[in-house]
Amino acid sequence: MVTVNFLGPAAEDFPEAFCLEAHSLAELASVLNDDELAAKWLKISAVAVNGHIASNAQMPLKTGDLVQILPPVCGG
Amino acid sequence: MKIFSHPLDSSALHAEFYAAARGRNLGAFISFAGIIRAELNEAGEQVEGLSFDIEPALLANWLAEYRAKETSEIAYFFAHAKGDVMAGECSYFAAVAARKREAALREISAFVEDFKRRAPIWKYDIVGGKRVYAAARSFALPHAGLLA
Repeated sequence: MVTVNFLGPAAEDFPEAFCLEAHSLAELASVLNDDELAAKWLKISAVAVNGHIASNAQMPLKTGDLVQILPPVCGG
Repeated sequence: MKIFSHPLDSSALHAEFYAAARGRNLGAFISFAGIIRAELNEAGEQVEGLSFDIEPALLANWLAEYRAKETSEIAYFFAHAKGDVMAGECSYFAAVAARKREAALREISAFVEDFKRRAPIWKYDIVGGKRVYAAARSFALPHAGLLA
């Protein structure tokens, strides 16, 4: 099981982190994209795995990994 | 890295960071303060202030890239507010200190711009007392859409 957490404005739609069974980011994407709201955010969001931005959709996941969904940012 | 749950005291931060630069024998110190403007947003609504969400662990990772670049000749300083910051108040204070001015002038621009585009902070307009995500002014992170 991995933990999925939508951050920033996406947290308004998914206020709580949740756990899913997925062995890769691609597998996770397949599950999440079944949800219309999640798919909307995934289109524009980057993904961090255990604190680091992922660049490979085939990246394997293991139990306990934290996957964070990061919508477009703007500080300052 | 300093994250405050209230508007920043830019004078106090300036004094603190300046003293740290002096302590490291760095000869050029340049600071940047972000002050909230009172203006209309893209929808023509009056913006009373801004509000910020921050993911501290990811922000620390972003800042770590600059910590890794620090030497005896350059240092980076950073503070940001989370939550609501109203017009006229300070939300962001950054500084670079370098041995000489050329590096400080170059790095403050890169540091501030990179922060704007890559740091895990989300901005909202405060309109009528409610938070509205500033989507039009936000920047997609590298590899955005990877799971689409």
